[in-house]
Amino acid sequence: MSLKINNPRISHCADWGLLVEFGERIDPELNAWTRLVADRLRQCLTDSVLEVVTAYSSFLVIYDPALLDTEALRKTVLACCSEKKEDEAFQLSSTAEIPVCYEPEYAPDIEDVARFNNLTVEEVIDIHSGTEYLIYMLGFAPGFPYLGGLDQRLHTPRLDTPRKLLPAGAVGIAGSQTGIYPLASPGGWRIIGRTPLQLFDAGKKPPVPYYAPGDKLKFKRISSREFQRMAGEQSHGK
Amino acid sequence: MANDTFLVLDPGTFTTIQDLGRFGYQTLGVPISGAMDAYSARAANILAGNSPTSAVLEMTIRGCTLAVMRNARVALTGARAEIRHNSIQRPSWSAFEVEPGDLLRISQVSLGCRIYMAVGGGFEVPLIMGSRSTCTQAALGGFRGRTLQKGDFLPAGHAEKIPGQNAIPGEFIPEMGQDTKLHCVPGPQDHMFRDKGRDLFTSPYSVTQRADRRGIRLEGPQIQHSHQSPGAIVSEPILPGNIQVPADGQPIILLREQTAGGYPKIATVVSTDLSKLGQVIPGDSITFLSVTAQKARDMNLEEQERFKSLQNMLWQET
Repeated sequence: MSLKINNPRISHCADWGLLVEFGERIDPELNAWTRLVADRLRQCLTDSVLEVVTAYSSFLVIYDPALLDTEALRKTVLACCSEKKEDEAFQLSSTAEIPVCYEPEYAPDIEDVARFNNLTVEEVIDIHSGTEYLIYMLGFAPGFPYLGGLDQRLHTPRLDTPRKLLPAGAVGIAGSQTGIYPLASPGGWRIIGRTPLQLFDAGKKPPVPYYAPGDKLKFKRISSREFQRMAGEQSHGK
Repeated sequence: MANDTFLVLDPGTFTTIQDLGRFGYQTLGVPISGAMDAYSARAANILAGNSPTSAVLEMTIRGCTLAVMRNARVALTGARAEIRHNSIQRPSWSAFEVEPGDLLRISQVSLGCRIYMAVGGGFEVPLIMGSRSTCTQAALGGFRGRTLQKGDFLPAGHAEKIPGQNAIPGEFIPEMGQDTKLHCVPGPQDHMFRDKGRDLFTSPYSVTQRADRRGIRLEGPQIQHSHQSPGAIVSEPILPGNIQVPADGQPIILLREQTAGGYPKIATVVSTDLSKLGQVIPGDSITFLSVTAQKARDMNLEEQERFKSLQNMLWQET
C-alpha cells in the first residue's frame, strides 16, 4: 500500500460507542484500510462487542461497557492498526455485475440526463455501464451502495421535487453519485434504469446477496425482455 | 394458529412489535430498530415473566384495542394512558391475567409518547436477522414488517415464569414531564464547533414536529460551527444518541432507524437517557447536561445493577 496512514482519531460516543476515524477523505485505499482494521477487530473481540460498523474512512464499535473496559478497547484498536499492512482486504474484493435495463419504461429521467450533459441516451448508457465503481459503504437503506467513480460527463443535479415512490431496483444519478435503491422508497435521484435483482432479502445469507463494501460494481445492460425473464426467476426462486 | 393470543380490533396510531434491536447488520445498511424506550420495554417484559429481550408492542400516541383469544399474563409500562380491561381500569407499570373473550383497550397517552405491552412468553413473530424488531422503512421484521392493522392475529409464546410481584415499585418508574434533561458526552466532533460546542449546553431546545423513530429535530438558539469547519463531514456510522448539527445550527438527535450520517456530531446522549427520548413529544423542552465518558460509563453500570435488583425483586417468590 502506497498510502501513508496515520494513527486514527479515536473518540467516545457516550458510554457504548467508540468512533475510529482514519481521515476526512473519500479515498479507495483509506476505505480498504478502514475495512481491514475493522475486520481484524471483529476477529479479536467477540462477546463484549455488539457490532463494528464501517463507512468511508471510519468505523464505529458498539460495545457493552460492563463487559469491556474502554481503555482496553482503545488499545486493541491501536494494536489492530499497528500490524503490518498486508493486502488482506484487497484479496477479498470481487466484482459484482448488476444487470440493468435502461429502456424508457424503466428510465424516466434518462433523456433529461442526456440533455443536461449534451449526450445521446446511447452515450449515457455506454458511459454508465462502461465504468467500474467501488462500493465504499452501504447505508441510507438496507443494501444501498455508496458508489465511487461516476464519470463526470454524467453528473446531473437531483430532481427539484423528490418522487413519492421509486420502485425497488431503480438505478439513479444525483450530483456526482450513482446508486441503486434496493427497496421501494421516496427519492430525488434521476432514474436512468432498473435492475430486476432483489438486492436486499432478509431471508438470504448474507441478506445483501450480490455485493459487499469493498467490492467493485459494474452495471450490465439488459433488454426489457431479459428484465422480465430475470424478474420472473427472482420471484420463482422465493 | 394455535398460539394466536390477540386479535387487533383497533391498531392505534402507530403500533409495532419491537425487542431491544437488531445488531450486527449496520454495515449492510440495516438499522438497529428496537424499542425507543428500552427501559419501559424491559420492565414490561420482566413484569410478564419474560427475558428483558423478548418482543413487546410499542404503541405511539394512541394505544390499541385487542380482543383476547387465549389465557395470558400481560404487562403495560411507558407513557401514561388509560388501560381498560373489560370494565376494569388497570394501573400502568403493572401486570394482570387475561382470558379468552376479554377486551383490552388502551387510550390516547396523557403524558409521554409510547406505551409498551408485554405478554407472557413474548410476541412470537419470526426472528429475522437475529431480532423481532420492526423496521417499517425496509418492511423488515416484527409483524410482517409493518405497523399493526385491524384484523391482525398476534401470536405469543408460552410463559415460562410467573413473577411473584405484579407491579413495579414507584422508585423504579421513571419520571415523565415536559422538561427532559439529557446527559451527554461531548464529541466525537465537538472540535468542529465554536468553543468546543458549548452552545449546546447554554439553553434548552424544544422538540419540533419532526420527531420519529429515526430522529428528533430540535429548535433553539443556533449552534455555531467553528470557522474552519466545513459544516459537513464524510458520511460516518452513527450511534443512537448522536447529536448532529447541520449548517442551520439546529441539532438533530439520531435514534434507531438510520445507519449513517454526514453532519458533525457535537455530543452523544448517554445510553441510559435514550429511553427518555422515546417519551418526548413535539413542544417538549430538552436541556443538555455535559458529562465525561467515565461518568457515562458509571451511569450505564449503575443502571444495569439497578435493573438486576428490580428483576430479582419482581421475580422473588411470595
